[in-house]
Amino acid sequence: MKFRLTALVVLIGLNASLFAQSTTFDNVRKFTLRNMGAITEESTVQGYYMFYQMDKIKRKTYSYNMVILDQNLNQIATKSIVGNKYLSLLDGVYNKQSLFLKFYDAKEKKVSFQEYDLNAKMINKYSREAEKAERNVIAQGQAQEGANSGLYAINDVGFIDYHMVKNKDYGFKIQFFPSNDYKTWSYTSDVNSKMVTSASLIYADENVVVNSIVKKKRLMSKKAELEVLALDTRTGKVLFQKKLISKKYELLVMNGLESDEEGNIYLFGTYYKKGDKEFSSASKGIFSMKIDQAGQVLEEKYMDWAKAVAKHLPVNQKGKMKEGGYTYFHDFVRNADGNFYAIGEQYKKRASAAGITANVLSGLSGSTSGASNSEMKISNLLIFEFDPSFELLNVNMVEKDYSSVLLPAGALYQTPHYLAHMVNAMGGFDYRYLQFNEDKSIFTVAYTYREDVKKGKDKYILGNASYVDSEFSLDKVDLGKTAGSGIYRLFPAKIGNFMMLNYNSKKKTIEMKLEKVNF
Amino acid sequence: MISRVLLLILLTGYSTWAQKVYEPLPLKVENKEGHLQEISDYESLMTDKAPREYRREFKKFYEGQYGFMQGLMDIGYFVHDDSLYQYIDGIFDHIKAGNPLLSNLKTRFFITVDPSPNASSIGEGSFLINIGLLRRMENEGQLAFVLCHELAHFYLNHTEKGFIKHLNLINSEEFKEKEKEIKKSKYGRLSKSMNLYKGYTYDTRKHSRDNESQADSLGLVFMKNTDYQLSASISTLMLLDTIDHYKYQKEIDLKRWFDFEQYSFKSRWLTVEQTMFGGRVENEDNFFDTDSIKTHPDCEVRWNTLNGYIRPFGPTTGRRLFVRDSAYFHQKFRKFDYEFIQGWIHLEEYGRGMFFTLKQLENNPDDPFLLGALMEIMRRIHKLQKDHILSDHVQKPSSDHEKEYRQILEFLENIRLSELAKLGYYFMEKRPDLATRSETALYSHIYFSNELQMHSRRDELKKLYRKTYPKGKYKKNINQL
Repeated sequence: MKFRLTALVVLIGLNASLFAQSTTFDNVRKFTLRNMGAITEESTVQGYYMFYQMDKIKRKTYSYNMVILDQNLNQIATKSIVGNKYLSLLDGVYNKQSLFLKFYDAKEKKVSFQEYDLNAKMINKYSREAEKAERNVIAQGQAQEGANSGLYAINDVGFIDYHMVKNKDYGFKIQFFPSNDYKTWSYTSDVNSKMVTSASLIYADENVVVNSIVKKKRLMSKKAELEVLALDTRTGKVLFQKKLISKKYELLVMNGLESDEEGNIYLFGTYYKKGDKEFSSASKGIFSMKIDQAGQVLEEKYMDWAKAVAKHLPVNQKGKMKEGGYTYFHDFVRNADGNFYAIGEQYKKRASAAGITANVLSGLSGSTSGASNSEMKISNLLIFEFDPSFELLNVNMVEKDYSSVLLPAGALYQTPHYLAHMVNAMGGFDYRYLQFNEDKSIFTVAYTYREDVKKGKDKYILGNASYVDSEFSLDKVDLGKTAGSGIYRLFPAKIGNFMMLNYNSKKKTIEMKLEKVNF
Repeated sequence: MISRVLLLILLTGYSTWAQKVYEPLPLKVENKEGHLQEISDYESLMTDKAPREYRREFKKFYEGQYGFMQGLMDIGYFVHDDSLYQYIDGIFDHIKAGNPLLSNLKTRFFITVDPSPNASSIGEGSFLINIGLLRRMENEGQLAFVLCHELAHFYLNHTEKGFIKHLNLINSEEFKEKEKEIKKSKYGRLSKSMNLYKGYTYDTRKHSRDNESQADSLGLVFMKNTDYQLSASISTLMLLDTIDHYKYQKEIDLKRWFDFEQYSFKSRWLTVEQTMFGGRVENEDNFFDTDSIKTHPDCEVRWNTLNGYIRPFGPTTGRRLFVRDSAYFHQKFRKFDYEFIQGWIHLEEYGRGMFFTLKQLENNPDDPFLLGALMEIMRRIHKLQKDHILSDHVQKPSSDHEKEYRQILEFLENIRLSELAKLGYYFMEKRPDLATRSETALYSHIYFSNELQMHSRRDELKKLYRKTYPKGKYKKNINQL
């Protein structure tokens, strides 16, 4: 999760003399914080990066400090970087061998990468031009907290970056940067394709990089062709690219995991009636599929709403609950016991009082409002527990106050399922992140919501639904109470913790707090 | 056969002894208004005497100092004990009696809850002596040297002189020129400001080191005019040189304290986290040179200097390490180990509190005060963790921490809320006699049994509390559980 902050001038507590009060000395303690984010290794936070603008050293050239903190917020390294004022640090990932950072220069239209070894020495630098398509995505990502930068770590092997390119239509490029004896490679989608093609990583290890490929006629089309693309991690060669076909259903892959020592892959997602549009139709249930490294389907299992899930939840055959609505799936994971978990969140499209009022008032004044008359009601989290053979054991409903996401004009004509994807892209769901510990015996699902307090100030709550050795527990944090005063932002942290960044606007100071989650 | 009377005496005596746990010193300031008035009078006097061009700055400065002292008094930063204050007052009186130069100085001292081994002269006649320093004093002579040193700072007006030096520096033509240059520059303003700041810091820190040397030598002169052995000045500096070493060396064995028949110790509680880069990476260029920013000269330099002064003074027959009362010193000062623990609790620093309590327990495993303090700290940690505000009170582990202390932090980091409650509960279950020896331990036992929803056990313990401590300070608290 990245913290978007422009020109935040921060006083850093330098060890000043008791008497040292002068504007000159204040300058010494003021820095402009450009970017801040968590450095992740798979689903664990290993530390944080902070990127400060320090000084203007010559015309159009600035000095920056990049500070690396460990997972306990201890400062472990500081690096000086020189660049123009449009330089920002987009993301940082760690793969047990090295730290990899992604920068963006909006003026030069360049994306660059820096790799640091375990002594915090820079060992590699890469850069490329950022095409317009990619620049738009980056700008969008910078405007939205928690947006994915497209950079991932593959433990002990290297790093992989995804970005959009413009061929005949929009496509994608995958770049691999090794941190071992592998070679760099890149893979680009079919340059002659007239379909909008995007890729997202679903699984990677030292042998294979498995991607979900979505092809559409136009950007906003609801009908898509879905494929799985597997690349050899060493060489970038295509191992297989095929439509994931089920004889009976349409499939939408959400995530992938390694399944066994033979290198077979587990894929998870939702499945649909044959012929249905995956992005805009109600699903029939959840599927799991085991494929080998040639893409051959070895096993497949389908958990339908109507029979399997209905034993645990009052859902109809489309997975809809009367109050909560449908379920949008954020992630599929597996813990050390071999159990699988699907993390979902309920959504329901409904009429919006605020939207209707805005439109009526606009109409009366002779103008038009951009709002639709609809909103998405986001309610409870649902965590589905499966045993190692993907039999559904239980569904834990994590109750929370609902939130409403006002939908844009035209939403009335869209299905709730299509709109759910849009709401997710906007960051409208309450689900924030998922953390695992090193041996995968514990994971925590974090979510935030506003708690309605009668006759008092509403509370902003961080909920943590944890599975410790497959046992469920729930912890709630009143973020306002933990933060104290000032504005605060929430960051993921190492397992069993959350991090808050408090900004005191009067003193212009930043305080970072790492607090434990209880389970 | 023991007579009934004797038996009664023995039982009563045992009961009294069993309940006799150390009572920490109260947080109190005697004659607060009188002290503040004296401080205010001194500050008005010194403001009037200040160079005219700096009078406004001095006024502000002294207002800050007054507020600082008032604040400390208000937040309960000082402890009070009549006999202790009389004892230390007596040392001050002895020093002043031998040094007529000091006789007109209006001074006052306060003993703080602060566990750090330090003493300071505020500059307006107040001296703060930390519990953390008192507990490390080996004899009265060492304390006398500390007081002489602080008196020397005050006598030499180091605080005011330091402030004037600062004002002269930042108002000097040279400094103003440099500031102008920085403000005018288009480029490199920050690095120029930092260099100016570096120069300023080096200058003021050197000044501070010079002041410390002056206070050492004048302090020795004051001490020469007392009956104290001058070698105590050397032993004080030698003590300060190793003050970071723990007073008690025995290593903490966490398993010893937290392994129970009903709830065994988990090895994962001792897991040490791995960090990126293996911990802190040395910065290629540190901005400050470490030696140049020290506020004090190295202790070895200091004691060598003093040794040079002591030798010419000739034989030291008749001088003593104890002038006031050695029995009182030994009896009273060893209790400061308890006050040291209490200090961490007052400051709400529970990571260090737990660490130092366990350190002392390794040497004194049955001490009811220490056992009670451990329970109190664990109870507070539990409550803070439950409320998600622990980080203000327990540090996160860092590669910069000393290994043994870090182990405690890792332990607190790895332990879960429910596990902490179980440890507290079974700790007390293993020591049934502790309930009648330490009120705070019993209250913690009730708290943990409530957290674990062991309601019938909790209610039994509540009954015991009401019977044993009918006027106890946790009466209201247990009613709420």
